[in-house]
Amino acid sequence: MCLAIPARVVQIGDGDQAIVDLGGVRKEISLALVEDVAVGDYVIVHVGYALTRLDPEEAERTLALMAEAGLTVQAQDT
Amino acid sequence: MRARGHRLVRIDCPDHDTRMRTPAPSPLETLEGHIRVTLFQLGDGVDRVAIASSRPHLAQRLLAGGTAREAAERVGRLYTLCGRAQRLAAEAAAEAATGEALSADRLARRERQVLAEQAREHLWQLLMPTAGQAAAAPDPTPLRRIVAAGEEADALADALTRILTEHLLGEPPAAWLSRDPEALRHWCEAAATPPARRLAGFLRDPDPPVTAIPLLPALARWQADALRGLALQVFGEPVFCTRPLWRESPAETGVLSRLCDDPTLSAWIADMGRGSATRLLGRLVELARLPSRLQGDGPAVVRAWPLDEGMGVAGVETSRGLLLHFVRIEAGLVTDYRILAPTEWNFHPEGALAEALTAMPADTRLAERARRVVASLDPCVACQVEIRHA
Repeated sequence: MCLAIPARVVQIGDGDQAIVDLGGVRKEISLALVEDVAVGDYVIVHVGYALTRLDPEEAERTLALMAEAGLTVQAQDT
Repeated sequence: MRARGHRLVRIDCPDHDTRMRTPAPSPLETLEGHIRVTLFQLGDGVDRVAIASSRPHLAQRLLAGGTAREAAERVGRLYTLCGRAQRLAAEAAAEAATGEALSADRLARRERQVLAEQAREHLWQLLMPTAGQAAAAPDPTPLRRIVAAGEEADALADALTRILTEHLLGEPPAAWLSRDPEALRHWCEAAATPPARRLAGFLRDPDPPVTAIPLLPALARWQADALRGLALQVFGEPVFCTRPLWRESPAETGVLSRLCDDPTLSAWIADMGRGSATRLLGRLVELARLPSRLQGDGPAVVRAWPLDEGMGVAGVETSRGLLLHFVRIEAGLVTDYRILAPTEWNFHPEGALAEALTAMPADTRLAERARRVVASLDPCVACQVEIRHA
Protein backbone atom coordinates (compact mmCIF):
# COMPACT_ATOMS: atom_id res chain seq x y z
CA MET A 1 0.00 0.00 0.00
CA CYS A 2 1.04 3.52 -0.59
CA LEU A 3 0.86 4.85 2.95
CA ALA A 4 3.20 3.31 5.49
CA ILE A 5 0.56 2.29 8.03
CA PRO A 6 2.04 0.38 10.98
CA ALA A 7 0.27 -2.94 11.65
CA ARG A 8 0.62 -4.66 15.04
CA VAL A 9 1.36 -8.39 14.98
CA VAL A 10 -1.26 -10.12 17.15
CA GLN A 11 -0.66 -13.79 16.30
CA ILE A 12 2.04 -15.80 14.57
CA GLY A 13 0.90 -19.02 12.95
CA ASP A 14 2.44 -21.86 10.97
CA GLY A 15 5.23 -21.15 8.51
CA ASP A 16 5.51 -17.43 7.91
CA GLN A 17 1.81 -16.63 8.35
CA ALA A 18 0.70 -14.06 10.91
CA ILE A 19 -2.35 -12.02 11.87
CA VAL A 20 -1.93 -8.26 12.19
CA ASP A 21 -4.18 -5.50 13.48
CA LEU A 22 -4.34 -2.60 11.06
CA GLY A 23 -6.26 0.25 12.65
CA GLY A 24 -8.78 -2.14 14.22
CA VAL A 25 -9.10 -4.50 11.25
CA ARG A 26 -7.40 -7.91 11.40
CA LYS A 27 -5.59 -9.31 8.39
CA GLU A 28 -3.60 -12.40 7.57
CA ILE A 29 -0.14 -11.60 6.22
CA SER A 30 3.17 -13.30 5.47
CA LEU A 31 6.36 -12.67 7.45
CA ALA A 32 8.52 -14.38 4.79
CA LEU A 33 10.48 -11.21 4.00
CA VAL A 34 11.32 -10.08 7.56
CA GLU A 35 13.22 -11.77 10.36
CA ASP A 36 12.79 -11.97 14.14
CA VAL A 37 9.27 -10.60 14.35
CA ALA A 38 7.41 -11.26 17.61
CA VAL A 39 3.81 -10.77 18.73
CA GLY A 40 3.37 -7.10 19.69
CA ASP A 41 5.86 -5.82 17.09
CA TYR A 42 4.78 -3.34 14.45
CA VAL A 43 5.39 -4.04 10.75
CA ILE A 44 4.73 -2.20 7.50
CA VAL A 45 2.62 -4.36 5.20
CA HIS A 46 2.40 -4.31 1.41
CA VAL A 47 0.26 -6.69 -0.67
CA GLY A 48 0.03 -9.18 2.17
CA TYR A 49 3.73 -9.16 3.05
CA ALA A 50 5.42 -7.51 6.01
CA LEU A 51 8.21 -5.43 4.46
CA THR A 52 9.88 -3.89 7.51
CA ARG A 53 9.72 -4.00 11.28
CA LEU A 54 9.29 -0.78 13.27
CA ASP A 55 10.17 -0.11 16.87
CA PRO A 56 7.10 0.84 18.96
CA GLU A 57 8.12 4.47 19.40
CA GLU A 58 8.57 4.88 15.65
CA ALA A 59 5.19 3.21 15.04
CA GLU A 60 3.47 5.57 17.51
CA ARG A 61 4.89 8.62 15.75
CA THR A 62 3.75 7.30 12.38
CA LEU A 63 0.26 6.47 13.69
CA ALA A 64 -0.02 10.01 15.10
CA LEU A 65 0.87 11.41 11.66
CA MET A 66 -1.70 9.11 10.02
CA ALA A 67 -4.34 10.31 12.49
CA GLU A 68 -3.55 13.89 11.53
CA ALA A 69 -3.73 12.94 7.84
CA GLY A 70 -7.13 11.33 8.49
CA LEU A 71 -8.45 14.54 10.00
CA THR A 72 -7.02 16.40 7.02
CA VAL A 73 -8.89 14.18 4.56
CA GLN A 74 -12.13 14.61 6.48
CA ALA A 75 -11.63 18.35 6.37
CA GLN A 76 -11.06 18.17 2.59
CA ASP A 77 -14.20 16.09 2.09
CA THR A 78 -16.47 18.48 3.94
CA MET B 1 -22.71 7.83 -24.62
CA ARG B 2 -24.71 7.48 -21.43
CA ALA B 3 -24.16 4.23 -19.60
CA ARG B 4 -27.19 2.16 -18.68
CA GLY B 5 -24.70 0.03 -16.88
CA HIS B 6 -25.29 -3.40 -15.52
CA ARG B 7 -22.16 -4.73 -13.97
CA LEU B 8 -20.46 -7.54 -15.83
CA VAL B 9 -17.05 -7.93 -14.33
CA ARG B 10 -15.47 -6.47 -11.29
CA ILE B 11 -11.87 -7.18 -10.58
CA ASP B 12 -9.12 -5.65 -8.58
CA CYS B 13 -5.68 -4.65 -9.61
CA PRO B 14 -3.39 -7.64 -9.08
CA ASP B 15 -0.73 -5.71 -7.31
CA HIS B 16 -2.76 -4.59 -4.42
CA ASP B 17 -4.75 -6.47 -1.84
CA THR B 18 -5.31 -9.67 -3.81
CA ARG B 19 -3.96 -11.78 -0.98
CA MET B 20 -5.98 -10.24 1.77
CA ARG B 21 -9.61 -9.73 1.05
CA THR B 22 -11.34 -8.39 4.13
CA PRO B 23 -15.01 -7.44 4.29
CA ALA B 24 -14.32 -3.79 5.03
CA PRO B 25 -11.11 -1.84 4.72
CA SER B 26 -9.69 -0.25 7.82
CA PRO B 27 -10.28 3.52 8.15
CA LEU B 28 -6.53 3.91 7.84
CA GLU B 29 -6.58 2.11 4.50
CA THR B 30 -9.39 4.23 3.11
CA LEU B 31 -7.17 7.19 3.95
CA GLU B 32 -4.85 6.45 1.05
CA GLY B 33 -7.64 6.42 -1.53
CA HIS B 34 -7.98 4.24 -4.59
CA ILE B 35 -8.42 4.36 -8.35
CA ARG B 36 -11.54 3.14 -10.11
CA VAL B 37 -11.37 2.33 -13.82
CA THR B 38 -14.64 1.72 -15.69
CA LEU B 39 -14.74 0.42 -19.26
CA PHE B 40 -17.99 1.00 -21.15
CA GLN B 41 -18.34 -1.82 -23.65
CA LEU B 42 -20.33 -1.25 -26.85
CA GLY B 43 -20.60 -4.16 -29.28
CA ASP B 44 -17.17 -5.67 -29.80
CA GLY B 45 -15.27 -2.59 -28.68
CA VAL B 46 -14.75 -0.23 -25.77
CA ASP B 47 -16.84 2.91 -26.24
CA ARG B 48 -15.17 4.95 -23.53
CA VAL B 49 -13.20 4.67 -20.33
CA ALA B 50 -13.65 6.51 -17.02
CA ILE B 51 -10.75 6.78 -14.57
CA ALA B 52 -11.50 8.25 -11.14
CA SER B 53 -9.03 8.63 -8.29
CA SER B 54 -9.81 9.31 -4.64
CA ARG B 55 -6.14 9.70 -3.71
CA PRO B 56 -6.01 12.59 -1.24
CA HIS B 57 -3.46 15.32 -1.71
CA LEU B 58 -1.92 15.63 1.68
CA ALA B 59 1.23 17.63 0.99
CA GLN B 60 0.01 21.17 1.62
CA ARG B 61 -1.96 20.26 4.74
CA LEU B 62 0.63 18.02 6.34
CA LEU B 63 3.87 19.63 5.25
CA ALA B 64 3.24 23.38 5.31
CA GLY B 65 3.71 25.33 8.52
CA GLY B 66 6.82 23.58 9.83
CA THR B 67 10.46 23.66 8.89
CA ALA B 68 11.81 22.01 5.75
CA ARG B 69 13.52 19.39 7.88
CA GLU B 70 10.21 18.50 9.53
CA ALA B 71 8.53 18.26 6.12
CA ALA B 72 11.19 15.82 4.87
CA GLU B 73 10.91 13.71 8.01
CA ARG B 74 7.10 13.59 7.75
CA VAL B 75 6.92 12.78 4.07
CA GLY B 76 9.47 9.97 4.45
CA ARG B 77 7.41 8.51 7.28
CA LEU B 78 4.11 8.74 5.41
CA TYR B 79 4.85 6.61 2.34
CA THR B 80 5.88 2.94 2.18
CA LEU B 81 6.85 2.24 -1.39
CA CYS B 82 8.68 5.40 -2.34
CA GLY B 83 9.43 6.68 1.18
CA ARG B 84 13.11 7.11 0.42
CA ALA B 85 12.44 9.01 -2.82
CA GLN B 86 9.86 11.23 -1.09
CA ARG B 87 12.23 12.14 1.74
CA LEU B 88 15.14 12.85 -0.61
CA ALA B 89 12.93 14.94 -2.91
CA ALA B 90 11.80 16.98 0.08
CA GLU B 91 15.38 17.55 1.22
CA ALA B 92 16.59 18.46 -2.26
CA ALA B 93 13.70 20.87 -2.93
CA ALA B 94 14.32 22.66 0.37
CA GLU B 95 18.06 22.91 -0.32
CA ALA B 96 17.32 24.46 -3.71
CA ALA B 97 14.85 26.92 -2.16
CA THR B 98 17.31 28.04 0.51
CA GLY B 99 20.52 27.88 -1.54
CA GLU B 100 22.12 25.16 0.58
CA ALA B 101 24.90 23.27 -1.22
CA LEU B 102 25.70 19.63 -0.53
CA SER B 103 29.03 17.84 -0.77
CA ALA B 104 29.70 15.55 -3.72
CA ASP B 105 29.71 12.61 -1.29
CA ARG B 106 26.21 13.40 0.01
CA LEU B 107 24.88 13.78 -3.54
CA ALA B 108 26.44 10.46 -4.60
CA ARG B 109 24.94 8.76 -1.55
CA ARG B 110 21.54 10.16 -2.45
CA GLU B 111 21.83 8.77 -5.99
CA ARG B 112 22.65 5.32 -4.60
CA GLN B 113 19.70 5.44 -2.21
CA VAL B 114 17.28 6.22 -5.04
CA LEU B 115 18.74 3.50 -7.26
CA ALA B 116 18.49 1.00 -4.38
CA GLU B 117 14.80 1.83 -3.93
CA GLN B 118 14.25 1.53 -7.70
CA ALA B 119 15.89 -1.89 -7.61
CA ARG B 120 13.68 -3.12 -4.76
CA GLU B 121 10.51 -1.84 -6.44
CA HIS B 122 11.38 -3.29 -9.86
CA LEU B 123 12.24 -6.62 -8.31
CA TRP B 124 8.97 -6.66 -6.41
CA GLN B 125 7.01 -5.92 -9.59
CA LEU B 126 8.88 -8.54 -11.61
CA LEU B 127 8.46 -11.29 -9.04
CA MET B 128 5.09 -10.72 -7.42
CA PRO B 129 2.30 -12.91 -8.79
CA THR B 130 0.16 -11.40 -11.50
CA ALA B 131 -3.60 -11.54 -11.65
CA GLY B 132 -4.99 -15.02 -11.60
CA GLN B 133 -1.87 -16.34 -9.91
CA ALA B 134 -2.58 -14.74 -6.56
CA ALA B 135 -2.36 -18.07 -4.76
CA ALA B 136 1.17 -18.75 -5.99
CA ALA B 137 3.53 -17.23 -3.46
CA PRO B 138 6.71 -15.80 -5.01
CA ASP B 139 10.12 -17.12 -4.04
CA PRO B 140 11.17 -14.72 -1.25
CA THR B 141 14.89 -15.42 -1.73
CA PRO B 142 15.72 -12.61 -4.22
CA LEU B 143 13.60 -10.08 -2.31
CA ARG B 144 15.36 -10.99 0.94
CA ARG B 145 18.73 -10.79 -0.76
CA ILE B 146 18.16 -7.31 -2.15
CA VAL B 147 17.00 -5.98 1.22
CA ALA B 148 19.97 -7.59 2.97
CA ALA B 149 22.39 -6.04 0.43
CA GLY B 150 21.64 -2.52 1.74
CA GLU B 151 22.63 0.61 -0.17
CA GLU B 152 26.41 0.33 -0.44
CA ALA B 153 27.25 0.36 -4.15
CA ASP B 154 29.48 -2.72 -4.46
CA ALA B 155 27.40 -5.01 -2.24
CA LEU B 156 24.17 -3.98 -3.95
CA ALA B 157 25.65 -4.35 -7.45
CA ASP B 158 26.94 -7.83 -6.59
CA ALA B 159 23.60 -8.91 -5.12
CA LEU B 160 21.71 -7.53 -8.11
CA THR B 161 23.97 -9.24 -10.64
CA ARG B 162 23.44 -12.54 -8.86
CA ILE B 163 19.66 -12.08 -8.63
CA LEU B 164 19.45 -11.09 -12.31
CA THR B 165 21.53 -14.06 -13.41
CA GLU B 166 19.92 -16.68 -11.20
CA HIS B 167 16.31 -15.57 -10.86
CA LEU B 168 15.36 -13.17 -13.66
CA LEU B 169 17.43 -13.59 -16.81
CA GLY B 170 19.01 -17.03 -16.58
CA GLU B 171 22.22 -15.50 -18.01
CA PRO B 172 24.58 -12.65 -17.07
CA PRO B 173 23.05 -9.16 -17.47
CA ALA B 174 25.69 -8.04 -20.02
CA ALA B 175 24.90 -10.96 -22.36
CA TRP B 176 21.16 -10.45 -22.01
CA LEU B 177 21.40 -6.69 -22.70
CA SER B 178 23.20 -7.34 -25.98
CA ARG B 179 20.18 -9.20 -27.43
CA ASP B 180 18.30 -7.57 -30.31
CA PRO B 181 14.46 -7.66 -30.37
CA GLU B 182 14.36 -11.02 -32.14
CA ALA B 183 16.81 -12.54 -29.68
CA LEU B 184 14.79 -11.05 -26.80
CA ARG B 185 11.59 -12.62 -28.17
CA HIS B 186 13.42 -15.92 -28.38
CA TRP B 187 14.55 -15.48 -24.77
CA CYS B 188 10.93 -14.86 -23.67
CA GLU B 189 9.90 -18.19 -25.17
CA ALA B 190 12.92 -20.20 -24.08
CA ALA B 191 13.89 -18.93 -20.61
CA ALA B 192 12.17 -20.47 -17.61
CA THR B 193 12.30 -17.41 -15.33
CA PRO B 194 9.11 -15.75 -13.97
CA PRO B 195 9.49 -12.49 -16.00
CA ALA B 196 10.27 -14.42 -19.23
CA ARG B 197 7.15 -16.55 -18.80
CA ARG B 198 5.02 -13.51 -18.09
CA LEU B 199 6.42 -11.67 -21.12
CA ALA B 200 5.81 -14.69 -23.37
CA GLY B 201 2.15 -14.67 -22.28
CA PHE B 202 1.86 -10.92 -23.02
CA LEU B 203 3.39 -11.39 -26.48
CA ARG B 204 0.94 -14.14 -27.42
CA ASP B 205 -1.95 -11.80 -26.63
CA PRO B 206 -0.62 -8.23 -26.92
CA ASP B 207 -2.54 -5.18 -25.72
CA PRO B 208 -2.86 -2.10 -27.96
CA PRO B 209 0.29 0.05 -27.86
CA VAL B 210 0.07 3.65 -26.72
CA THR B 211 0.86 6.00 -29.63
CA ALA B 212 -0.97 9.30 -29.05
CA ILE B 213 0.01 10.04 -25.46
CA PRO B 214 3.61 11.28 -25.36
CA LEU B 215 6.27 10.28 -22.87
CA LEU B 216 6.98 12.82 -20.14
CA PRO B 217 10.61 13.95 -20.43
CA ALA B 218 12.92 12.07 -18.08
CA LEU B 219 14.52 14.01 -15.23
CA ALA B 220 17.82 14.36 -17.14
CA ARG B 221 16.07 16.45 -19.82
CA TRP B 222 14.36 19.02 -17.62
CA GLN B 223 15.50 22.64 -17.48
CA ALA B 224 14.67 25.36 -14.96
CA ASP B 225 12.49 27.31 -17.42
CA ALA B 226 10.14 24.38 -18.05
CA LEU B 227 9.92 23.68 -14.34
CA ARG B 228 9.14 27.33 -13.61
CA GLY B 229 6.17 27.02 -15.98
CA LEU B 230 5.07 23.80 -14.30
CA ALA B 231 5.44 25.42 -10.84
CA LEU B 232 3.06 28.20 -11.87
CA GLN B 233 0.41 25.62 -12.71
CA VAL B 234 1.16 23.44 -9.69
CA PHE B 235 0.80 26.36 -7.24
CA GLY B 236 -1.84 28.25 -9.20
CA GLU B 237 -4.39 25.58 -10.18
CA PRO B 238 -5.72 23.44 -7.32
CA VAL B 239 -6.55 20.45 -9.58
CA PHE B 240 -3.34 20.47 -11.58
CA CYS B 241 -1.57 17.93 -9.33
CA THR B 242 -4.54 15.55 -9.69
CA ARG B 243 -4.68 15.82 -13.52
CA PRO B 244 -1.31 17.08 -14.68
CA LEU B 245 -0.57 18.13 -18.25
CA TRP B 246 2.71 18.56 -20.08
CA ARG B 247 2.51 20.96 -23.05
CA GLU B 248 -1.27 20.78 -22.74
CA SER B 249 -1.34 16.99 -23.02
CA PRO B 250 -1.41 14.11 -20.54
CA ALA B 251 1.87 12.18 -20.60
CA GLU B 252 3.27 8.81 -19.54
CA THR B 253 6.11 8.60 -17.06
CA GLY B 254 8.09 5.57 -15.93
CA VAL B 255 10.74 3.25 -17.32
CA LEU B 256 9.77 4.04 -20.91
CA SER B 257 10.32 7.79 -20.49
CA ARG B 258 13.72 7.04 -18.95
CA LEU B 259 14.79 4.35 -21.41
CA CYS B 260 13.35 5.55 -24.72
CA ASP B 261 16.94 6.06 -25.95
CA ASP B 262 18.36 2.88 -24.40
CA PRO B 263 19.94 0.72 -27.13
CA THR B 264 18.23 -2.50 -26.02
CA LEU B 265 14.82 -1.01 -25.35
CA SER B 266 14.57 1.55 -28.17
CA ALA B 267 14.93 -1.23 -30.79
CA TRP B 268 12.15 -3.15 -29.04
CA ILE B 269 9.90 -0.04 -28.87
CA ALA B 270 10.43 0.53 -32.61
CA ASP B 271 9.30 -3.05 -33.24
CA MET B 272 6.59 -3.58 -30.65
CA GLY B 273 5.37 -0.14 -29.55
CA ARG B 274 4.55 0.92 -25.99
CA GLY B 275 2.33 -1.72 -24.37
CA SER B 276 2.40 -3.81 -21.19
CA ALA B 277 5.10 -6.14 -22.50
CA THR B 278 7.37 -3.19 -23.31
CA ARG B 279 6.90 -1.70 -19.84
CA LEU B 280 7.70 -5.05 -18.23
CA LEU B 281 10.75 -5.48 -20.43
CA GLY B 282 11.74 -1.90 -19.59
CA ARG B 283 11.82 -2.74 -15.88
CA LEU B 284 14.03 -5.69 -16.63
CA VAL B 285 16.38 -3.60 -18.81
CA GLU B 286 16.60 -0.88 -16.16
CA LEU B 287 17.32 -3.43 -13.44
CA ALA B 288 19.93 -5.15 -15.64
CA ARG B 289 21.73 -1.80 -16.09
CA LEU B 290 21.61 -0.94 -12.39
CA PRO B 291 24.83 -2.73 -11.34
CA SER B 292 26.85 -0.43 -13.64
CA ARG B 293 24.72 2.60 -12.79
CA LEU B 294 25.51 2.07 -9.11
CA GLN B 295 29.13 2.77 -10.03
CA GLY B 296 28.08 6.25 -11.19
CA ASP B 297 27.51 5.43 -14.84
CA GLY B 298 24.29 7.09 -15.99
CA PRO B 299 22.15 10.22 -15.72
CA ALA B 300 21.30 11.68 -12.30
CA VAL B 301 18.17 10.33 -10.61
CA VAL B 302 17.88 13.26 -8.18
CA ARG B 303 18.00 16.87 -9.39
CA ALA B 304 16.87 20.16 -7.89
CA TRP B 305 16.52 23.72 -9.10
CA PRO B 306 16.02 27.03 -7.32
CA LEU B 307 13.11 28.82 -9.02
CA ASP B 308 12.15 32.15 -7.54
CA GLU B 309 13.05 33.67 -4.18
CA GLY B 310 12.50 30.96 -1.55
CA MET B 311 11.06 28.52 -4.08
CA GLY B 312 12.63 25.20 -5.03
CA VAL B 313 11.71 22.15 -7.03
CA ALA B 314 13.25 18.69 -6.91
CA GLY B 315 12.72 15.67 -9.13
CA VAL B 316 13.46 12.04 -8.33
CA GLU B 317 13.21 9.16 -10.78
CA THR B 318 11.28 6.45 -8.92
CA SER B 319 10.40 3.02 -10.31
CA ARG B 320 6.91 4.34 -11.23
CA GLY B 321 8.21 7.49 -12.87
CA LEU B 322 9.11 11.10 -12.16
CA LEU B 323 8.29 12.39 -8.68
CA LEU B 324 8.36 16.19 -8.32
CA HIS B 325 8.28 18.21 -5.10
CA PHE B 326 7.62 21.96 -5.16
CA VAL B 327 8.26 24.02 -2.04
CA ARG B 328 8.11 27.67 -0.95
CA ILE B 329 9.97 28.64 2.18
CA GLU B 330 9.73 31.96 4.03
CA ALA B 331 11.68 32.84 7.16
CA GLY B 332 12.66 29.20 7.63
CA LEU B 333 9.11 27.85 7.45
CA VAL B 334 7.36 26.00 4.61
CA THR B 335 4.48 28.11 3.31
CA ASP B 336 3.47 26.04 0.25
CA TYR B 337 4.08 22.42 -0.62
CA ARG B 338 2.94 20.39 -3.63
CA ILE B 339 3.79 16.87 -4.72
CA LEU B 340 3.31 15.80 -8.34
CA ALA B 341 3.50 11.99 -8.36
CA PRO B 342 3.80 9.46 -11.23
CA THR B 343 0.40 7.84 -10.56
CA GLU B 344 -1.36 11.11 -11.40
CA TRP B 345 0.37 11.29 -14.80
CA ASN B 346 -0.20 7.66 -15.74
CA PHE B 347 -3.79 7.44 -14.47
CA HIS B 348 -4.91 10.76 -15.92
CA PRO B 349 -8.51 10.30 -17.19
CA GLU B 350 -7.33 10.93 -20.77
CA GLY B 351 -3.81 9.55 -20.43
CA ALA B 352 -1.89 6.44 -21.48
CA LEU B 353 -4.15 3.98 -19.65
CA ALA B 354 -7.29 5.47 -21.20
CA GLU B 355 -5.75 5.32 -24.68
CA ALA B 356 -4.73 1.65 -24.34
CA LEU B 357 -8.07 0.58 -22.88
CA THR B 358 -10.19 2.42 -25.45
CA ALA B 359 -8.39 0.60 -28.28
CA MET B 360 -9.03 -2.89 -26.86
CA PRO B 361 -11.32 -5.44 -28.50
CA ALA B 362 -14.17 -6.30 -26.11
CA ASP B 363 -13.81 -10.07 -26.14
CA THR B 364 -13.69 -12.52 -23.26
CA ARG B 365 -10.13 -11.48 -22.42
CA LEU B 366 -10.91 -7.77 -22.05
CA ALA B 367 -10.80 -7.79 -18.23
CA GLU B 368 -7.51 -9.64 -18.11
CA ARG B 369 -5.88 -7.35 -20.66
CA ALA B 370 -7.19 -4.22 -18.91
CA ARG B 371 -5.86 -5.44 -15.59
CA ARG B 372 -2.49 -6.12 -17.18
CA VAL B 373 -2.16 -2.57 -18.52
CA VAL B 374 -3.11 -1.17 -15.11
CA ALA B 375 -0.43 -3.35 -13.49
CA SER B 376 2.18 -2.29 -16.06
CA LEU B 377 1.55 1.37 -15.17
CA ASP B 378 1.79 0.32 -11.50
CA PRO B 379 -0.52 2.61 -9.52
CA CYS B 380 0.70 3.28 -5.98
CA VAL B 381 -2.79 2.60 -4.55
CA ALA B 382 -5.41 -0.11 -5.01
CA CYS B 383 -7.10 0.00 -8.40
CA GLN B 384 -10.45 -1.53 -9.29
CA VAL B 385 -11.40 -2.32 -12.89
CA GLU B 386 -15.05 -2.64 -13.87
CA ILE B 387 -16.66 -3.42 -17.22
CA ARG B 388 -20.14 -2.14 -18.06
CA HIS B 389 -22.33 -2.42 -21.11
CA ALA B 390 -22.78 1.01 -22.64
